[in-house]
Amino acid sequence: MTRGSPPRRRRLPRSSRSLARLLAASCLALATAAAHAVLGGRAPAIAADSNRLAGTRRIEPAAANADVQVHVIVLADGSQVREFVGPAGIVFAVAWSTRFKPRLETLLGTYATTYADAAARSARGPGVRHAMTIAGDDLVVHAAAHLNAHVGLAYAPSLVPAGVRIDDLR
Amino acid sequence: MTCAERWRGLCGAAALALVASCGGSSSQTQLVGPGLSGGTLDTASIDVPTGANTTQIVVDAGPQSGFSIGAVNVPYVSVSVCVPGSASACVTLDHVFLDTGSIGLRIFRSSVAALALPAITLPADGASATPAGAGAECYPFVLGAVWGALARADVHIGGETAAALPVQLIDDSTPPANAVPAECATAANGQLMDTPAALQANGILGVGMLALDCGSSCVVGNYASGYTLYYSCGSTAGSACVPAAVPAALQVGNPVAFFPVDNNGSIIVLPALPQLGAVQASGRLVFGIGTQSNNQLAPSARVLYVDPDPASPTYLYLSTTVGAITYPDSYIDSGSNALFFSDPGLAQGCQSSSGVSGSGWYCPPTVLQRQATLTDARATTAAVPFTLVSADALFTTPGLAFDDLAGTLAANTTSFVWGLPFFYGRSVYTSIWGQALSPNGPWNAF
Repeated sequence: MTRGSPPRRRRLPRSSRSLARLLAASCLALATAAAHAVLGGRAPAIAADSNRLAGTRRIEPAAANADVQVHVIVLADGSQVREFVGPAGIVFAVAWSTRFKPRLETLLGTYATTYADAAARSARGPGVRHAMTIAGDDLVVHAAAHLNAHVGLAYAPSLVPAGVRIDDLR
Repeated sequence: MTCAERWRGLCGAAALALVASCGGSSSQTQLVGPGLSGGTLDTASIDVPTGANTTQIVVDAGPQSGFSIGAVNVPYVSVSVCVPGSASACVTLDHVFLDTGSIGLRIFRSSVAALALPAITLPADGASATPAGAGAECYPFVLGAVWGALARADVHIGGETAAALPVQLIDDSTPPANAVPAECATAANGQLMDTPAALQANGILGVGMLALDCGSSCVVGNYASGYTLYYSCGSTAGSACVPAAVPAALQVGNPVAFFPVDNNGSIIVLPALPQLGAVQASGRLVFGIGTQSNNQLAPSARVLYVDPDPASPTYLYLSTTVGAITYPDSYIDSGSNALFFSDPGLAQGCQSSSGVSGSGWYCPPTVLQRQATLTDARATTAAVPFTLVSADALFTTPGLAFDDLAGTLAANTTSFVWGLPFFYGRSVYTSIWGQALSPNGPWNAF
């Protein structure tokens, strides 16, 4: 898909990238407390996500960026959860297309509390919502639902590898 | 003037000069503004088609339960709910929210308490470890959810009847008849919608493209991809509810699909509006497509099929392109009160932007004319021009119906939501997939 403008994201010079990866890797220690991979977690733990969701998993390069691996978890009802892994081996984005409203509290790892708080604030507004976005300092969540087709994307801007366009995450 | 309360707009600085104030009971206000045509703000209505397969739609301030809820662009219909088989044990509910983005009738338990509607008992299912019990549902929206028991009712809309239809009774009792499962509180983002004020309506009438609100996943009780929808609850008060498999015949159904006739879809007909909107709009909800002389698919109508493949990431979506931006997860939805999309090139910065919703409004300094192309699952395209007017300008008026109101979604969002503004000045057809209809499939036409 094409978009009119690049994502607003701080771009690090090339020389800083390895540092960024080191920093990202150090954050890992916080994330490994979770029983499964999810946003901010390490790629090898995605297998646990797949098992928890009773899905099958395939790994493919992202269409728009060979440095990004997409772990596609396919469920029996056709639902998909797609976890995006950068060169540092960290899950920096999670996308979904599911028959039921997804359990983001289990897919967002250490970001789950940030999401829960922001969503609860938004949910206080009256009326039925079929689309919403949360754009915080280090968590962006898009979610929409048409009937029983739930779609969305969550990512942590600080974890997005240099050179990756959010537009290209499908 | 007193600014009307609006659920996602505060009363901002005046962007328009109000030549006459909107006091008293007058529904007319003189308006003049930069780039906007002056004139009076009035009601807008369309009164046809008529017939037993139709009913009135109103877009107004919402249920008048002692106060005005003050929503904008929320379409309502009246629905009568009766004890199955009874012509007299009935309650008529006004201001039921007309939603093509969901399926099924959901009404407040207290509003029909006098009817003592028969509960739906779920059978035990060994494969899914479902115990026999009273059926209940946690129906989530993107934010929030409704919780409550399943019951059967005769549902009358206009001259049509869905007999003994499974509906949801939103539990508004204190404490709830059955304790809300912890998972449902999470699914609701901590905010169960259990009052007319929270719902902005006395119920939800979901008339989207499907016959059931769940389908095969719930028949086998497979909730692996998300929050549990259906529960089986113990018979004693306060007993726990556990995830349940639910046979199709007991799932909450689209009332239209269960009418004996005119059951293959619906048409929403709303009037065209002036740029500054209308203080109230009314139109028609028509049942059936091609089943009567008043519901024929217009020869000029373009049929757009949403993606019918459940294994596709764009299942039930259309694609929208505006300029250089493509939104693959787009949908036409009477249940969204504006056009919602991300366009970094458009001015946001509204005075009246929301403090609570996380999604504000667009406020272009001049009236913008845009051109969109919708592309369906069969590569059919339709050109859709649309107009954007600053939300600040619109919310300065006493209007409640706007065809040019747009809300923001965060950058890179893949959805373009064709909410109620899309419906004004059109007849928008919504098929029901699997019903007798040619061409069959999940589609919109307009």
